Amino acid sequence: LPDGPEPLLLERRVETGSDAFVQRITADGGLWTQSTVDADFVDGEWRFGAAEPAWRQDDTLAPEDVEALRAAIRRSAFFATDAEHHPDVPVIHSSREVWTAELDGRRHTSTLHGRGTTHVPALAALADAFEAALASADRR
Amino acid sequence: MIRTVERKRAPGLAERERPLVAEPPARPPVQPARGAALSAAAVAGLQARAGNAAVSRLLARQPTATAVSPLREAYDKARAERDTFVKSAKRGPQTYDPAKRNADNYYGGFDVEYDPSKEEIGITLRGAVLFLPGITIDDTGRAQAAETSAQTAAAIDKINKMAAIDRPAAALQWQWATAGGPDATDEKDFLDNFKSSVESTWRKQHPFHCTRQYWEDVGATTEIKVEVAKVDAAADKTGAQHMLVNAHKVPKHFVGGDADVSRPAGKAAGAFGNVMNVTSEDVVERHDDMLRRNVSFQHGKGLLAPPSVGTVWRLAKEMPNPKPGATIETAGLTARVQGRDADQRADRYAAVLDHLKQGGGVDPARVKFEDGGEGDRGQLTIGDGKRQTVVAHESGHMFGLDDEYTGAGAYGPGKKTEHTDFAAAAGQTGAMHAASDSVMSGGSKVRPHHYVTFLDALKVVSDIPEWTYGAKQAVNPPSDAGDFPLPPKIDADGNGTAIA
Repeated sequence: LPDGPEPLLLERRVETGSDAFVQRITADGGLWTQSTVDADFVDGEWRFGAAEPAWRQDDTLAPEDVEALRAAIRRSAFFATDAEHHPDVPVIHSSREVWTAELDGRRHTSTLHGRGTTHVPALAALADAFEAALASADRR
Repeated sequence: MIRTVERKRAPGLAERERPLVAEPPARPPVQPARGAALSAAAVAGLQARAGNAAVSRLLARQPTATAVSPLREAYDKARAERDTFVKSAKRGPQTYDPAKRNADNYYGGFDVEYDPSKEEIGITLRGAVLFLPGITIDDTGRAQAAETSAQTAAAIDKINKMAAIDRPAAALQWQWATAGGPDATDEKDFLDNFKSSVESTWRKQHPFHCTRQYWEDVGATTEIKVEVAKVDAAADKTGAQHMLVNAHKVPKHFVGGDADVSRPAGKAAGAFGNVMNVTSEDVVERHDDMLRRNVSFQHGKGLLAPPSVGTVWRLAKEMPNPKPGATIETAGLTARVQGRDADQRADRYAAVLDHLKQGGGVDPARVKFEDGGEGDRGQLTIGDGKRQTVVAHESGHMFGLDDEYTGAGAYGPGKKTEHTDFAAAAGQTGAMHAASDSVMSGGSKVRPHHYVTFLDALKVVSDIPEWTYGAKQAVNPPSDAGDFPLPPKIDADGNGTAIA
């Protein structure tokens, strides 16, 4: 996959097999997406297929939303979480969620295996903050 | 010392008639009391001292009115027991927990029974199906994923970029009909297709037969019965259902999605503690093509285009050659090649072979050429190229089998699966992670080693450990003379050689 836009603040990468859908928020509030899969809704019908992975900027977060996200990352204790989180029991053939954040000179990546089955409070807090930032951009 | 057996056969003779070993010279004559009864042990002892042929002559001199070959006695006894077994009542049903039989396993479960009169092993898989939306619209009007794959994440992104008023209509196709979705019969279709696809994929693939002496004509064909029924809540799953199936609704022609099997309460949860997550499209053939790779060639040349070199190398790494001594069939590759003329197509095929060799050491004997006519394109097809139905694959996990496709870490090409050792103990060696047309990789083919848990379940439910792969065999009574265990063959060093 092509290198992402920098400087990074927070990225969520959903991986299913070799497919990936990635959303990244940069430190200046840029909201970027990149995907190897395509989902399109045309004339009332969904169409699915492969996509050439390329970063595109969808939106820009308001400065207060970026600050709220930074605060949420600090509160989440994300930088203290393990690099890998596996479900309590092995799951055959499930998706992964890869979180990467960069803040206060630190960069950390943590992978949640068994998406939908595995629950890690720090990553759930990040997911909530990420969704809140997207919802805020949606409302503007 | 490792002892070897060499059987020399005269061409055209049936095995029983062949002189298998030469009679050792200078043996003492055999002189048992005339008319004395000969037990099997006595015969064996005589053979060891005097040889097979001498004992045959001796037995031939026994009074015919009273003498019965001890092997004939053993045969008659075994056949009587065999006939009693075949006429006896059905064995089972009983629950089979793969995790209790294979130390590497932690998932799956089914019921097994064996009907001797039908020579049929019945495998029953029961599931409680919970119909769930793939996408919901929350109170703020934003789409949220219930189905957890990258593909649905992309659809969520698409919906949330729409005007809020348009989002419910786009999300509607991610709802089952009972929740307002547009596909009127989708729940019934799901249940019907789940049952038919799993049963048709797995039933009657590889026969078994009994290996107990003189029982070799007792066989077992495998019948699969899938019973899936709707529940309104996860708590409604009964204790007799092996799995809760979370069925997420996705639009027709959806590609991808999450599909997995686990035991949320752990390995100790047993054969009824499984959860299977699938989508509504997983009960029909996949819409993507996992067994084909498209390539292109440089125009006017016999060379692969640069991006296709990477495609071929990646495929080569995913298709390791079988390990030495492996008994499990390894999928081959068909290279359909276009070109200006036959010479250019031959050059391009040679280029494909060369890159398969460089990229992963693929044995050229595994690759077959197919003339694609004129053009600059090519296609590599793994094995039979038939598309997979995902629930047939996931049900393989319920039958106690691991994935065989490739990925990172433990899924690396050539690495052992969680059923590799278990299958090897049953004579099916070489199961590994690889791009393949196997149902537990990317295809639909049920190979013999995928029946290893059925074979084991047959041993358990019949309480007979002597079963193996293959169709049942003819059983012939022993002849009255000469058909005995053979004595050791003495080699030049005086070592005896075991006769298998």
